[in-house]
Amino acid sequence: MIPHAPRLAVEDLHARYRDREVLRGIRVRHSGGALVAVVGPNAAGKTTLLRCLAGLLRPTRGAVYLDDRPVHRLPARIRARRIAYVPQRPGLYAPYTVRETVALGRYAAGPDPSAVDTALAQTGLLELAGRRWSELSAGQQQRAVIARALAQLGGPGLLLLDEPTAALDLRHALDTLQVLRARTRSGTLVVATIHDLNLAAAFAQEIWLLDAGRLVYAGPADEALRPRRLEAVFQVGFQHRRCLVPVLPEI
Amino acid sequence: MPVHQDRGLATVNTAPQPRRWLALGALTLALLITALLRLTLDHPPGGGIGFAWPDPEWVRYRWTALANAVSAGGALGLAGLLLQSLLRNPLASPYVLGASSGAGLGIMVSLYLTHRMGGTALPPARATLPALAGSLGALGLVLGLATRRGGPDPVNLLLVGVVVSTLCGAGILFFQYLVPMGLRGEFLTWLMGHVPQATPPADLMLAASLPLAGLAFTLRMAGALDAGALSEEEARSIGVPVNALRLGGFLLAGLLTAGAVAVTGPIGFLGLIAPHLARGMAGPRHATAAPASLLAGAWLLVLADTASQLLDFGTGPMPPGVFTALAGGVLFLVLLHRTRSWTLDGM
Amino acid sequence: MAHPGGFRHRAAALLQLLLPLLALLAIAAQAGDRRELRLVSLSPAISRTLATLGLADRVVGRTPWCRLPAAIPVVGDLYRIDYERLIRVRPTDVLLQTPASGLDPELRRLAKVHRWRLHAWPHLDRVTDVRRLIRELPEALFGGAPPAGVAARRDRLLQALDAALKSGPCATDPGPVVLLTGTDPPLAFGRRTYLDDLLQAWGLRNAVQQDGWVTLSLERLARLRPATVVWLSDRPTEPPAGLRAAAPEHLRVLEHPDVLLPAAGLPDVAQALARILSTLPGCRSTRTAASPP
Repeated sequence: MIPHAPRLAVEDLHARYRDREVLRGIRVRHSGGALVAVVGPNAAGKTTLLRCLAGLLRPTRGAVYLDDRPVHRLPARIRARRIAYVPQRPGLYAPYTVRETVALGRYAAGPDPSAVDTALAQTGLLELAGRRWSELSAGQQQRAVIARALAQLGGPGLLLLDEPTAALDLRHALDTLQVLRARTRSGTLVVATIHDLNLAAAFAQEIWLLDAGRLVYAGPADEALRPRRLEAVFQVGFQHRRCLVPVLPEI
Repeated sequence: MPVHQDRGLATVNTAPQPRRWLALGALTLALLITALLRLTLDHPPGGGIGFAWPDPEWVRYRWTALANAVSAGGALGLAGLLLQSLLRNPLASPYVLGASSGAGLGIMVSLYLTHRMGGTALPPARATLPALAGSLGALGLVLGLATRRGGPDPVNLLLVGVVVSTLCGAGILFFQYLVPMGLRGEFLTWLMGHVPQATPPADLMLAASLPLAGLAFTLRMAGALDAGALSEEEARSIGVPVNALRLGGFLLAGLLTAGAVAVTGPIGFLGLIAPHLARGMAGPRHATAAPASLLAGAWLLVLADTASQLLDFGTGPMPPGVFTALAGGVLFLVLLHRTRSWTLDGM
Repeated sequence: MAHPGGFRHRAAALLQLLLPLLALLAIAAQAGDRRELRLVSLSPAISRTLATLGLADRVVGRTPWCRLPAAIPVVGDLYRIDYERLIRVRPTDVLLQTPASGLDPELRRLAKVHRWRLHAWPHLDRVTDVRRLIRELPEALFGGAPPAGVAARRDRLLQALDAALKSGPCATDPGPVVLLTGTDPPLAFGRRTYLDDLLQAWGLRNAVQQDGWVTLSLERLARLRPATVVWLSDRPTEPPAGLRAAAPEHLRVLEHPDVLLPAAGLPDVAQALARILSTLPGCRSTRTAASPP
């Protein structure tokens, strides 16, 4: 398979847990490398959307297509070479080292120490590579899981992250988003749920705004975060204001 | 800010690769030394204890006991590792999850039925099938009842395991109650767990091939088992066929347990301790942890059998099953104390 | 017919010479037998019978539960034989009860290889089984001609057993009897057990109608309405409190080291049991009835 930028198409996606419908007819398409931020209030269906995109949750109606193939029908190994998923709360039972944890990402594609090293370097974990997973802080663990996802794809693919910055301090959040953003240049489509609207606005090229299981907006970031649109979704007042913002690195 | 969660066994687990292979060597050496001990430990009737190469007339019994202990212990150790890895639960073991007592019940039922049909006792090779049915049945029941949305819940699993284990134990007692007095003694002796000294060669081969085949399968699955340490979602997302892995792993664990129980009767705690010892020495990766678990289980049972030759309170050698349950239980409490937070490792 | 008398004479002389030689040979053979006999008993009942026959000093291997000198090594029991030890005590004869699951194949193999004689009695449940054991043991070990002492002891034992069966303790029916052992729930001697055989022979009624040894709850015991409960123990212990509470006035205790063994101690046990039953209120002693002053 020649690595190429992914073509993602979400067609009339419905999903439910038991009797609760969580996604109600989502349609969106995207091709090529970009950082997409999925934003929306709690329980809007952000995580569910991500799990459907990852092929981990079977849609009740509609489908997610990657390169014109429905992801929930892809064999696990094939899927894992094209789609990486970083959950909000990663879990690891065995006392692996950081390097071992990151190397797990190569399960489907086969061992590749250089991909692991690259991923470790990109997430700033090279010095910690020999540490045990449980000795890491929550933020370091988060970065290790992102490194695993980067190692997993190797080349371009669909990279899905659920709140990748939630456990990180500002500095590491910025670093992480920068790494993700850099990754988009080689053709990776990064879809991340991001709680912090400012961060989303600063880094994402595209924003998908989710409300009660419906996609109310999908488009360029600068148009997404209009106060009126956000007020309708988040039900709080928004205001453009000057405030103390960190100096963002060059994007 | 690094979070130092524990300083017990787990610290050893960062052992670099060469040390892990060294650990396998150390376990092999321990097994060989203990085996030599078992072979040469001489306890002549009415005499003291010493060391002597056994007479050719009875050396076969020591070899047979050794072979049985190695294969049954190895099978239990490997089964324990599989269950702990698949369920991501350090307290899982064939014993706790009902597989052992299920196998025991299977054997009891078949013994009872053979007795009812006027037959004699089953040789171990033929006891493997009913034991397998019993262990898989119990394991299936435990997994089925303990599974909540998304997978087996660790606490539920242990609770249901204990209950199913007790149920099977009650079933065993029921069949013991059904058989005439003459057979009860036989059943009871079997229940204490022992390492047989006389086994037909064909049965011995079967018993020995089981853990070897199990090891081969486990090594084939090693990568997936390693990845199985991740949360289910993550494991699936990196391409691990989680359901197939679980099914294959549980079947294998059930088969290994059944084979071991058919040979030795129920041997408690071995399947719990051996994987902990193995991971502590050889690290958590299954390429080394699996052979280490097999070696550790084999070593522990040979050790227990050797010790049981020494422990004779005038009523014959103490059954090794009693010994492993006593010694293993205490050792496990110590391990549990030292690695209290291991359960929470990253979870 | 030149020397008819001569032939007869020569034959007689030969016989005269041969007979003492034959006798000597027979004695020597017997003595040789006696010297070589090394017995292993895998059954406490058989061990007890061996001891009563005066053969305890021939036993070189036993079970942990055999009441034999502690110096005799333990070589396992009926269910688990320590083959190594068994070989090392170099037995000539291995005596055992056939387990319900059949004879151990390895024991059979060993017996064949080492030319041990295996003597297995299928079951020891009833008085007839005990009688057969006593009768057959000397024959099994010594062939047709057991040593005089052994034969004498055997005959005395058989006589004692017959005597014990013949005369019951009671001329009148003291009502149904229950024979119990164990603690809670107790185990009752049902029909076709050696103690039931005694009761039957004495014309007494066993309240338990089932065959073999039967677990009896206190409630079921009460519903059997036994006139007498005899609690049997082979060591000095108190009967369980529940039993004492359930049947205070009918409870008798029979404490005898052999009471739980279907073996050579049976005549003694029978006597002890008869003595106890004869003290029952409903029992008029046969002795007084049979021989009035």
